[in-house]
Amino acid sequence: MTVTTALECRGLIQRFGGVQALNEVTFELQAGCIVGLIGPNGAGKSTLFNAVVGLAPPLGGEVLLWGRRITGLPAHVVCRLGLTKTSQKVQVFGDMSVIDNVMVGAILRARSIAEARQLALTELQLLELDGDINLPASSLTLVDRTRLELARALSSQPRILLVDELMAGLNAVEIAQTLTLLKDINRQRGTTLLVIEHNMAAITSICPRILVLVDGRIIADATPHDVSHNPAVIEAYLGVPESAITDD
Amino acid sequence: MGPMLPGRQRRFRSLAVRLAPLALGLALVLGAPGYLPDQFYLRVATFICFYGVLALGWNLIGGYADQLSLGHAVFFAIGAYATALLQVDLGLTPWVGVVLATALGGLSALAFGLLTFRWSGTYFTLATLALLEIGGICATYFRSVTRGSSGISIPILRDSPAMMQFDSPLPYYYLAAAMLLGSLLVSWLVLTSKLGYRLRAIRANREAAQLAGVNLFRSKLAALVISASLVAAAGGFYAEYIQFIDPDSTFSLQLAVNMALFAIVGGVSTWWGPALGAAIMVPITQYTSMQLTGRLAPLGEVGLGLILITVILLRPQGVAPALAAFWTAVSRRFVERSVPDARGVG
Amino acid sequence: MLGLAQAVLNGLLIGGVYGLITIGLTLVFGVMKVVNFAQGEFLMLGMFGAYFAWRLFGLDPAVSALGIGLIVGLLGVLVERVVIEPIVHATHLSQIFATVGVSLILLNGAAVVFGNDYYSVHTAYQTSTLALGELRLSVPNLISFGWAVIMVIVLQVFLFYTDVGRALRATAQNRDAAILMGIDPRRMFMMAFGIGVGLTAVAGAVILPYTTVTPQSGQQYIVIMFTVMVLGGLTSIRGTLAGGLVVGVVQSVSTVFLPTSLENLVVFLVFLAALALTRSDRTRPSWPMRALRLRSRAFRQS
Repeated sequence: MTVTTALECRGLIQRFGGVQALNEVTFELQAGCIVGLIGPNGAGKSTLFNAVVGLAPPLGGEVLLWGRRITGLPAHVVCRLGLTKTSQKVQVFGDMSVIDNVMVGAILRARSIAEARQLALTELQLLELDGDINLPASSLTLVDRTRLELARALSSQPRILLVDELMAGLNAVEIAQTLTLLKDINRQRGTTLLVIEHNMAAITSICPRILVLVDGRIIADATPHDVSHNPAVIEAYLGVPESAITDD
Repeated sequence: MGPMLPGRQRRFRSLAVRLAPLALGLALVLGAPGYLPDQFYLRVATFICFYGVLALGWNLIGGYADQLSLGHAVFFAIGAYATALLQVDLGLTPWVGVVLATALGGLSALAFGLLTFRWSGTYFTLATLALLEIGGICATYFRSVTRGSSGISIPILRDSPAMMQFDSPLPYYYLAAAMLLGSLLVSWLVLTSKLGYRLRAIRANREAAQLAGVNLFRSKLAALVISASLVAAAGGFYAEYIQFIDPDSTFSLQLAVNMALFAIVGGVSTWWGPALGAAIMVPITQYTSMQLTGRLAPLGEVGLGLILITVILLRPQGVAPALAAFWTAVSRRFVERSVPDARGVG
Repeated sequence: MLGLAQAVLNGLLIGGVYGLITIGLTLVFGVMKVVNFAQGEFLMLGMFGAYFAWRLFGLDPAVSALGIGLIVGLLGVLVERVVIEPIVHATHLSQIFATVGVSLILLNGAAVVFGNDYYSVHTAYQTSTLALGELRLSVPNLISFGWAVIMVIVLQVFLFYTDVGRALRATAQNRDAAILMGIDPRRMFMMAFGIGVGLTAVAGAVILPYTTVTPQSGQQYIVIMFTVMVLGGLTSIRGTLAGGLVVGVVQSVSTVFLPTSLENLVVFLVFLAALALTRSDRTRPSWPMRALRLRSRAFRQS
């Protein structure tokens, strides 16, 4: 069985004001993989997501989705094509109820409102948010809102999902649950995942491959072990070419 | 409180509770000629229905989609002028004229939206203001078509139902009431459809909406076209009811503001709030315009301004949500209370 | 050709005043991020104030302008405390319609008090003109233009060389950072709104000699104000002044080629064009402004 390239970025360039946010970023994601994306703050990770997904089209370079050029297409078109993301700063529809939040995503694929509601309920059950589904989203805790955003993203049935710091603010138990969740999504639905995360232990446990982004450039693309011993990576995080990186 | 009612009875009661206000509203609207004392009140009721249509129309784009138009009277004027000109110049019966005017309103909304939707928020509001003024100036200037500032008078034919003219206020009321009920239905259909979810999403969080696959432009355009059609239809009715239109009365900033005001007071997030807003505010404006004459007349508008500010500062969601919550709270006991059985339990 | 040159000259003079009228609006928007739909009504109040200062005390509007500005500015502070401050963080709908409500109250309140008549002042220099070669400069226009220049200079000094002014600019550029530096945003809002409407009232007093005032006067200027603000890049003072000049000249020149009844149509079309040029990117001034390199150091949004 041949492995197809789900997502490919070639030479992506992005600039804000005078800052070069992305500097010839190039990588490939194979279908069905889970890949981690790490880098110091300000490296351009979220910028990369925004460029790929269509919220802030890149100034140069190409994004290919299943071999098809999607560079510069608006985010809603990209979503319909099966690629979406969750945001670092959690984005939910605060005024709308929990169920309605997810239904916004579900109506994309469902043929009727009733069918959308069913799809939405399924996602909410998976993410254990099916308590009081009529509560406004703004009344949920940050952790629940993060999961709500994930539920909404999943309900549009993406084949590729970009996950931006899902585990910020979680305790050890919640982190473990989230990791299991991500693995399930990947295995059961075949969703390709690109995961930004600062928690090295977490990312190492589910990602057999890690990309390292520093100052808008990919400086490493290897297994967690190799990455953690890569001198360039160590220097980027610690400023000195000394010991191996440890988690934050 | 005793044991809960069995599921089936609870569901039946729950349905009854949700349908009761609808039935009440329907009875109030359709039965008005029965309980209103005289023709003057019937005229006021006609205006309530008329403004209800306008407010509901504005809300489709202003409330649902958060595109705040201060120039919606443009569509009203297009509807009024289209109906009037078709009748006066081509002898076309207004029954067809209003339908055509509605379509024309929708079409102009397409052009309007294509032009203005690239701008969001306050930019859009300013643009609608400019377009309203431009419309008014054009209507005044192109006298050969629009009769300029002299306006258009619909010839008074007394009893001529074929030309939408009746010699009693009753048919006019039923016409307006039918338009109101139709607008309420449209408003409900939009809110509960996929478009409704998309519009609410856009209003709640634009970026998240895009990420969820919502085409902002297309959704807003759809809302605008439906909105403009309703408002244009009301314009056509106005032309036939008042039987005189001119640029000042149709391309009117006051009307544009009132549409929004009534919707805000009633409740912009609900499908029926704007109609309630009209029902509350129209009698007030009618009363003040009767009591305050001459030099004091503008005090009525001052009052409107005060009400607008008060609502925005104290209850920006309007009256409707509170009313709905009240009804839900009151009727919950009816839905969930058990039926006391012969032994007196519960 | 001479007619055209005269029109351009008139347009520049009037345009300077358009700039002054609008700077208040720009100040409020820059600091509070709220578009004050009632700004025209404060202009009208300034005009009425100057009228009554003339009628009751014989004061020339050019003399009473500052005092009128101060009084209207204080009224503005009151309005800001009661109506505007609560909605600074509220929804778009609340912001827009709160100021619309203020506009309704002020406009119709004035109509009740003053009726719908037109009032005008009579000053000694009202019809005098100065000659500039073959062109004529209307003296009232010249005086108001002079006032516009003076007020802009004063404002620039205030914003750049006083602590309060710098605090205002800081709040406009980055509210959160300003708060962290100890600036009280509520005080800033109060000042911005008070000064903003005060400036517009000064402009109203100053233009009274060559126009009439009626309660509806504010509405006549509001679209001009929005056009100038949008052309000027929304948050730049020098841009606003330049935008005023552009609008003044365009309006004046259009009366040479078009009937006067369409003169406002041109302004509205310019407005739509200005919106189209700025697109939805609020932080960059429109391309004419960029082309002229008129980006003021004041009020640039980050």
